[in-house]
Amino acid sequence: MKPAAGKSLRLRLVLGVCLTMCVLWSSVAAWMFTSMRQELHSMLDDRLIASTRMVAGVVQQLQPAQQPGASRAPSADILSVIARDGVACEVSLVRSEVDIRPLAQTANSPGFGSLETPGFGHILKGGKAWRTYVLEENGIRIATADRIDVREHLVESFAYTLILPFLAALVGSLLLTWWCCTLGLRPLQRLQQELSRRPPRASSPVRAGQDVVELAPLVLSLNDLLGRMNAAIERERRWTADAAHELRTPLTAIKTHVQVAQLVLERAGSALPQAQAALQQAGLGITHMHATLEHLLLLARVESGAAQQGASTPGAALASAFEQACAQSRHQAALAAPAAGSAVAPALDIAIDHPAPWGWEQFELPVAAPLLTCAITNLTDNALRHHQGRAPVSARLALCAEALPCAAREGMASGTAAPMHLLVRIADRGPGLTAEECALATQRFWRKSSAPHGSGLGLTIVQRIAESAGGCLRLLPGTAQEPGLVAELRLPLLAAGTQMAQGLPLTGAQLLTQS
Amino acid sequence: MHILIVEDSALVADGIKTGLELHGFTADIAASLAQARSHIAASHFEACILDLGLPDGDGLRLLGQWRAAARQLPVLILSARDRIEDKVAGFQTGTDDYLTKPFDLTELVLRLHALLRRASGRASDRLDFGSFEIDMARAQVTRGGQTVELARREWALLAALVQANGRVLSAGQLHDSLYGAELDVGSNTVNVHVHHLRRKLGQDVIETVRGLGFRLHARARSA
Repeated sequence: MKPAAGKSLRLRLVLGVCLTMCVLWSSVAAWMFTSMRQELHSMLDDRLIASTRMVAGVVQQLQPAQQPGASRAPSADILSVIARDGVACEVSLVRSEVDIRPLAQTANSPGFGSLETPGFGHILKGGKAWRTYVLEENGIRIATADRIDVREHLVESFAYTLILPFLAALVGSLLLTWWCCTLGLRPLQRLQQELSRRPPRASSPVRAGQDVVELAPLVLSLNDLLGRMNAAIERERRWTADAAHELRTPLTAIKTHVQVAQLVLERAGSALPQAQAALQQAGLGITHMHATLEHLLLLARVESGAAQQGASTPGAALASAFEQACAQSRHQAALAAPAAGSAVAPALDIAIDHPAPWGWEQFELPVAAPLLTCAITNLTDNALRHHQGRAPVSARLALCAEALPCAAREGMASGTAAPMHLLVRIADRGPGLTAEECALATQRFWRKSSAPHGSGLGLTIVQRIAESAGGCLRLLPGTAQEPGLVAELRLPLLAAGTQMAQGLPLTGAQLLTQS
Repeated sequence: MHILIVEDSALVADGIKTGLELHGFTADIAASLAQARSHIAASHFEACILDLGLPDGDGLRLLGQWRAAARQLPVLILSARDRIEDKVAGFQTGTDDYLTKPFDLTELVLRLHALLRRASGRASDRLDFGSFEIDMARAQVTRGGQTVELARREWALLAALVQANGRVLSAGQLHDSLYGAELDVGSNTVNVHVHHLRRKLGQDVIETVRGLGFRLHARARSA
């Protein structure tokens, strides 16, 4: 199965670090911004006070010089003072509470006539808000003001100064964290690579990650698990061997004594046809029991992996294994025909599609040759047993360049290119199976009818052999036009020698490159 | 010919013994490694059928000891172990043949004949012996196309001498080949059967080596 999206450890780590940084830095920034804003406003207010007092001081110093002519009426002209934008100042003469005459003011002064009380205040003049400070001393009123929007612009500038470096640092931290996580997770990647390269039945412990403190316990547990699994498989193998001995020995005794009895009757020239027939039937029963026992033991071995042990069949031997299996089935069918009440066994047509432009020797099948022969024989035996009519049973061996339509293979395929695979297709014209029966047919001891044909394990064994190699067995029900059953055995192919060690499936493109 | 059956299952061993006797062999049964050792030490055997899983050890251990002691007794392993690894181990230890259970009695007999043929250096189971022809596989002697009727013991005696291929066999060894471990047999029975064989096949067929025993005449061996 492919890993589910969003389960990336690296992504989790990076997102965690980013989230932590964002939350912490945002809190700090918010706190700093609020504090800075207050400090800035306070500082600007202090500046207003300082400016006002400074102007008041200057006015105080100028007043004695003017006192000799103090009786003169103030000039109607207001002295205009140049000031920077956003700052205003006005000096007025206070004659009474209602008669306040400006003496001097900055060019952009908003006019402070409306201000009634000394101290801080706000006015709105010309659509702009001002922060004001008024000081009255010795009949002189000095008012200074800052434009609020200029102040806010200053605050915003400070805020940008804070936020922009933070954002840049955040992006940089993200990239650095991603890179650091990639570096830090390399031992995990090496562990994954070693595990993916590991042969299915390898008994050696996993080495990658043992030198990393955080991974060592995981690798230790993994090796412990592998050890227990290997021990379980070994017990299974021993059990199979013991079962083989325990079951075969009494069967051998029965078979031997039946043969001795047959021999004695034969030597004695005894005219006891019933005894001969009974012994013959007993012999058939023993043969059937023997076949079932062998199938059971083979199934146990395939399921425990004991039958494979990393064995493979060279490509050059595939066609001969196929022909040998077909020949065995033909022979078996010929022997069984008289017992089935038929004079002639069904014909078996075999076809081998040579994989031009490639040769068979370029491939290797990850299935032991005896198991391949056994799987094909089981399929052809089934087909010949159930076939009806004069048309022959068709058996075909072919090379397919398309992707394996097997669930088992999906977890094993590491490349995106379609791997090459071997197809064994057996088609008969018998009564066939329905789609539901096809799904049941690979279950142990499943038989369509109660007829004592076979052990009910043949297709199960084929399926297990296919699955152990990453392939599959598909049973296709016949149609009205083409009745019968089609069995397709698909097995992945490897490049001879070169990719065997890695256990990678072979692609058509790789083969063309090699050839 | 005298065959030692090393098999712990009495049912199987009895079946094999009866089957072999029906084919003209003489057989004795050993149910353990210890019994097999004492049989081999006490009697003369032409071949051995050896099971592997025995109560007091593995049959391969016994075979290894025999081969280490340069004992050339032909051995056929008859076992339920059918893995390639088991067969390889058997042949590497020194077995001459390997058959898995359950087996066909006819196949076992034919394999035994092949084993004995190779052991005595014969190319064929059919031997020309002057005017006689001996078919070891069919336990049959013919003269001019006519079967010479031989009693079971007489055939066993002749087969043992043929298998010895010119070596002198003592009366005791011939007794083993005829009767196996049967105890209630007269001491002069071998001489009686030799006499009967000479009468049926000719006086010069079996040569008496005074003080040692009997051997097949050189004319028969060179045929």
